[in-house]
Amino acid sequence: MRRLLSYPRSTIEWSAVVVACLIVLMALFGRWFAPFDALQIDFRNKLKAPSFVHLLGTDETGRDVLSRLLFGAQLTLSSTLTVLVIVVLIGCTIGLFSALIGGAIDNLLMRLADIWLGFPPLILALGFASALGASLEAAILALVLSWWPNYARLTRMVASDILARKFIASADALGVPLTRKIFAYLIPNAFDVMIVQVSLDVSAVMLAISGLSFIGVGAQIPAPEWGAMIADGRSYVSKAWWIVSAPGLMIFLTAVSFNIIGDMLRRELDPTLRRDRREGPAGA
Amino acid sequence: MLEAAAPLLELDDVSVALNDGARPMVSGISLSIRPREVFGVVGESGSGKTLLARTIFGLHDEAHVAGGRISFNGEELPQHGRHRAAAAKLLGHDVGFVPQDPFSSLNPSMRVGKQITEALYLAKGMPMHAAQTRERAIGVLAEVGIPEPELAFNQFPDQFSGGMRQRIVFAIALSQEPKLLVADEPTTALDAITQRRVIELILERSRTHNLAVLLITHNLELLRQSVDRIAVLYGGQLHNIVKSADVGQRPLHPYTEALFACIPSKGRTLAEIRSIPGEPVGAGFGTTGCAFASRCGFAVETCRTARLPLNDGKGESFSACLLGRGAEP
Repeated sequence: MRRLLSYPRSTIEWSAVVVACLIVLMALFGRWFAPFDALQIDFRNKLKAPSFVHLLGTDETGRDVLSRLLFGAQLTLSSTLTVLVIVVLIGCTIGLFSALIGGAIDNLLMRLADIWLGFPPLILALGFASALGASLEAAILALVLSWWPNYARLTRMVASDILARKFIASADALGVPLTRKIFAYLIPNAFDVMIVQVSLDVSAVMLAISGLSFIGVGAQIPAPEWGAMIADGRSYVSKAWWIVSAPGLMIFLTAVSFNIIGDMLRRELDPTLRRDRREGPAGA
Repeated sequence: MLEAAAPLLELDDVSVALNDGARPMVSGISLSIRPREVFGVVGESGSGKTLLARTIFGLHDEAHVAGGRISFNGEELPQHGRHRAAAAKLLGHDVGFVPQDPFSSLNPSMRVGKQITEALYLAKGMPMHAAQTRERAIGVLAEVGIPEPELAFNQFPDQFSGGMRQRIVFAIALSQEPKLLVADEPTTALDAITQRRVIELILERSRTHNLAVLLITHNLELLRQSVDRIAVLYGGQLHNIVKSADVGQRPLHPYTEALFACIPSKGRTLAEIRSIPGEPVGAGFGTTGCAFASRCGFAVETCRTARLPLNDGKGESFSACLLGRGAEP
């Protein structure tokens, strides 16, 4: 824990960490602080400017923007997390399998991953939207299907790198069985690289989900997903700027803070940089 | 005393080939290591010594035993496809293996203590988290000379110097109480003083724990002072097995003589240190003709064409010289 606290080295990094923590807290507990229901329509109060009753104003059907933002934090971040968890599980399994088995099957899997990467997530999601009906679930599925090759390739690369290192041969000499080799030797040593990639991908996946929702193939109105909120409010941008700018700012802050954290983790955990730091005078 | 004991590891005309090459890289290797014996294998880089040691214990992914018989503790290992699995069963119980480089042969993300308790669990089924296993692991760390073993138990490998890491590698291998320890150039990455300490550690352990050691190195001087017998490999051929006490005392195989003439030592001027003329041939020379003939001062025509003699394994020493040089008087 103390080591984690030594990572941020500048004001910008500290603020990114603080903002990211606030956003996560907002996603976890925000809905209990929402002054109104996120979906409640109130036509008498539509397009109201920010005031003490509606701190961030209301949208074109009188829904409270702040409440929608707080509910939306959970929706946006939980779908991002869903995508990442599934993608990491699928990608790492395929990558590890590929690295361990090697040979023709390894080649086949990795070329499949390459081909798969050729499909842009947007096109896939549009396909799914027309096949399954546009929904947040369809968008999540589309992102999972188009994102796994990144992790499969990364894991395969990292794993075969670790497999070539001497301590794996030593493990063989000790008689370490395969499952234990995977869980005690491969995964812990690949963890640094994976955590950096995941933290960088948080913002990318979130942008993709919001983007898909914005073009109408993700979360559907009136769901308070941030991208959908922007799509919803964009026709009123000249009359009611707050409807789009509030979720826009949230997307911006989330993306920037997680990107900065990702870069910070890369700097702190990068194996090549770490070696320089560690190979210094090491006493027993 | 040594003569009486049955051999622990016995190789009979063993050859090793790479999986993607037809020609054996190392061939015609016959030797036997007795219980408690410290046996050295020496050779220039590329002579096949590491390849041989790794392959006979199934640790080489790209090579296999192509012929000959290997027996361990009186039991012959199965051949061909089933050899690797059988050798893997020996590892972690009867055979310990210490790799070349202490800097990369420890799992960087596992605490030192856990790496030893893991070894104890794998070799003896001791539960990994039991206090008794922990005691044992700390005891092993203390035995190999790690200062403050309780503290070291909870540290990560990168918190140790190279010499200390090599000791930890030994601690892991020795904790399994093998009958044979195969040490593949265990001292190459260490400085001269640390090298000697590590070797002394192995020798002491061999004396106190009935441990046979197969020590692979190209550090001749260290080898001569520490082992009982030395096998000399060149070009993938076994050329000479000598008692280390005989080195410098009686004529040896021309290649062995040439090797030991290369050692710089006290009282020897630079002009007296002779390098061997010519380039070393790599492994894979086969058994027809002496691989050293192209560089040997005594070589005659038969040296290039005759079949290299095979060690019958009966004597203490052996010379493969076709001219009979280095044979026991």
